[in-house]
Amino acid sequence: MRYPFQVSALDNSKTRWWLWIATTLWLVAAAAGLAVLWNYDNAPGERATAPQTWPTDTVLVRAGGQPTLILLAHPQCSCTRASLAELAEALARSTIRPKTYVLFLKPEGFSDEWAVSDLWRIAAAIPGVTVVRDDAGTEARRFGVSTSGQTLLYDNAGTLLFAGGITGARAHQGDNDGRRSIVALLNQKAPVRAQTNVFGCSLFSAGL
Amino acid sequence: MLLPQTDDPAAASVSRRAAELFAAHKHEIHTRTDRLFAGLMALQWVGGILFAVWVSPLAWSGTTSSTHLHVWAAVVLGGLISLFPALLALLRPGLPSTRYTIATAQMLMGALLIHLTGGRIETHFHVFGSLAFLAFYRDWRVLVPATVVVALDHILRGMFWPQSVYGVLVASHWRWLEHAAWVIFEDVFLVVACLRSVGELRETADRTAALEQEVRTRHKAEVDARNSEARSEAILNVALDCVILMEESGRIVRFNPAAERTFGYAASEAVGQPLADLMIPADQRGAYQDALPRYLKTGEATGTNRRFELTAIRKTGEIFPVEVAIAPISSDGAAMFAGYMRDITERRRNEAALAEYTRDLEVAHETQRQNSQQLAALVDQLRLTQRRAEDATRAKSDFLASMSHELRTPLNAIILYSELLQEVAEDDGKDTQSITDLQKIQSAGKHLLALINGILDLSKIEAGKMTLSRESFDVREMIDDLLDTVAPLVRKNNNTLTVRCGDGVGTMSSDLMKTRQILINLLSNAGKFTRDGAVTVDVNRRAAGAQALIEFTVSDTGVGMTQAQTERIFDAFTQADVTTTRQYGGTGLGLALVSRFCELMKGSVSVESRPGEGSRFTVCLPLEAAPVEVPAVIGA
Amino acid sequence: MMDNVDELGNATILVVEDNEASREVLARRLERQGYRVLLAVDGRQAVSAARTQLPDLILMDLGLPVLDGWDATRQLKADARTRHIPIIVLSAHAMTNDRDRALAAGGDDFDTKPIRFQALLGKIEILLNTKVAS
Repeated sequence: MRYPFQVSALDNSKTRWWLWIATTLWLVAAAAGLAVLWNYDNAPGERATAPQTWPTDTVLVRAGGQPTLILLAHPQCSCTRASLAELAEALARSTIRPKTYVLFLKPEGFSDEWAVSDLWRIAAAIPGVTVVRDDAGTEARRFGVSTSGQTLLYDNAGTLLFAGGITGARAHQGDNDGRRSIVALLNQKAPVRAQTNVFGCSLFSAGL
Repeated sequence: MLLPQTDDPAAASVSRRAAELFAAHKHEIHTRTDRLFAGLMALQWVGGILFAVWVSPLAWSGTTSSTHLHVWAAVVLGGLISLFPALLALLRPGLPSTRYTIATAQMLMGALLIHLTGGRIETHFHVFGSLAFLAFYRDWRVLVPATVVVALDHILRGMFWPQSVYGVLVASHWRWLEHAAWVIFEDVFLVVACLRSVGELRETADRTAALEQEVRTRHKAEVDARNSEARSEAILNVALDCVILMEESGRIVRFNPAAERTFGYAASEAVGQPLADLMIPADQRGAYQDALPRYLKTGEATGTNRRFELTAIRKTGEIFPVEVAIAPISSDGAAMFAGYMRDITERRRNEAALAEYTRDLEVAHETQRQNSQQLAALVDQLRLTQRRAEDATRAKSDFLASMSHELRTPLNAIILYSELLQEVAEDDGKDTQSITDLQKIQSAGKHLLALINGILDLSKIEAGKMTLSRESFDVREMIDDLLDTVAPLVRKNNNTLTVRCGDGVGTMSSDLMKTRQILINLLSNAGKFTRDGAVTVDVNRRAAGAQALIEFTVSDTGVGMTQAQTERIFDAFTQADVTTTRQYGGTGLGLALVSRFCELMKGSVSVESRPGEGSRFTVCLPLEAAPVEVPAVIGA
Repeated sequence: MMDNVDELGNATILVVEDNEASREVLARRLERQGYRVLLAVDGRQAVSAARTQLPDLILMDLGLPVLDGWDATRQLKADARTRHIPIIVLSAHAMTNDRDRALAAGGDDFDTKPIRFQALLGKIEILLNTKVAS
């Protein structure tokens, strides 16, 4: 036990003044840093321009009596993990089981291992999910999707019910409008929204 | 606070000490927790980086990847958030500013981590965990900035990035409220815990301070007691008198060094023994042994609390007197006795000696008193005699004064008449027989006059009434003058008279009459006692030290005197021989007067003589006599 | 018969003496010397005799009745008429202060009793000569 307790030599009014300055600067920097981070995480990706009706030239097979749910993902995008978790969540909450496809982009020149990432395995582990490899992003382009995590829901007739992201922010799991809408639609209720922001990596490199 | 507020300075110092201890303890806790958080910050930072690198190392845009912003965020932002407070914790531990900064940073880090981990529920526990950790400070105030940061995080996000709570305001309101409620609940819980903990710290501090005081007091009391004990021991050890402590039965309990020395027993021998057996001669124990039980029974005692003398016995068997004082003391309920003894052999001896001296002194005193009385009586007698003598002297001088006049007056007539008759007879041519007869009358008268004058002078000198006069006179002239008187006397016996005056004999300042008388007396003697011889007068100036003298030497070639005679001749009425008067005449007063006059005038007279050869009288007188105003007294 | 009288003329001497025998003998002896002698028995007589007769010299005994020798001497010396008369003071006491006192009182000379006549004559001569000279 120190007795009596000694104040560091640094503690005098001069130092305290510096301290105030330093602390303020630090706070401002931290806040700025966090703001930047949040901005990034809340910056939505490019929205899909999905066809209103199921495209006929897709390789994906639309089931006749089921809605079809497609999620397009960049196999390496870590943020999409959250989307996959939300997908599983959504499927688990739905009464009607849609035909669910998760498409993983495999650009040309990249190996299969690159495409079959652990995201692939996570997706494959979700019951009822068919994981498809989308070579060169053909399907993605067909569906007009450019951001990883984009989810599209077509009804029995092939009409687009929902197109959007199912995460609240980039790589953020948790309750969000997108997932709720999906669930609502699958439970034949009105969706919260028909379109939501998509948070994820860009499927295509800039310019593509 | 445990201790009550008082004005007592001791209590005040205890409070102060408690406050010190409390503050120190708190500071220690703060410092320790600061250090803990510094470590935690580092861990979180590293953890954040690892997680970011592991989970989302790359951000893809199609085929291109770049380092995920999360990684940058983890490294840079994480570092920024973590390192500043860590630095503060190391440089300025224990200060409120440090821990508030840490609290803020901890929650900011939490926000970052939640973000990096994608808002996982588990990560939200970081908030609760952080708050709990912050409670380690025991300072509830740190929860304030933490809670504020958490709140701001939600509010600001809600304000600036509503997309993240996009359209789900209602639902996420509940969510947010629930989250807030949990946070508030935890805060309240933690605040209470902190306060209680602080209270306990305070109590501990108070108790410790009080305990310290207690220990100090007790220690001091012990030290005081020890000192007191040591002092008491010392007092007993250095005491020159015997100090003996006895218990009820009369057995010795303490026996101090003085007692050891006096009685010859070591303390170890004496302790446990009955005092009576040890130190009182056998034949005298009885009285003591009766007294003790009586005192114990009745509480009455004649021997306590006063001094008395006893006979005691040493170990050697020697009997000696002691002065004793015994006082009862009660200690812890038991009756004990303290005995103080002093060996008074020396004192007895001294007392005896003193008594004897006193007796002798008294006797001497008595004798002295008697002597004094006698002396006083003698003194009184003496005084009486003296007074009588003085009275006699006064009477005598008064008598003389009056007689002087009375005697001279008829004598004046006798002499003058006889002279007259002689003159007439001569003129009338009367026969020589008549003239001779008349001459005889004259000479008888002159003799009578000489006698009277001599006696009167002597008496005056004796009575201290003789005065000296002072006048200046020429010595030579005086001598010439008296030669007229003296020459006949000298020449009568067919003697020659020679006067020789030395140089420097000028004037004298003295009593002329007496000087004359001296010389006249000497010369008439010289003339009388010399036949067919020579009488010489020598006058010279002499010096005796600083004083100038005139020396008159009257020498003759007369009959001379023996040594014995010379010693007596200056006495009154004494002549060289009883036959001298018959043969030579004279009164026997002449030399007495010479000697006394010389004395009065501070001169001297001396004689040398040899029978058959003659005598020489030398008179020295001061040239300048001292001024006189009072009657001269011989011996003054 | 008489000797030493020539220069003196017939000087008058006033003899003041209370003792008869002394007075007589002194007077006779002085007369034999050729002086004219006046007699006074006390001080008062002396003063008045001196004033009226104006002797040439006064022989003043001290122990006088009525007015003693001191005062008589003083008075005579104070009086302008008699101041000039020389006074020889005679005293039976032979104490020094008698002499000084006498001279202080105004006496011109002093002698003691018993008188040495020859000496006295000498003193008288001196004083008379002095007086004659002045």
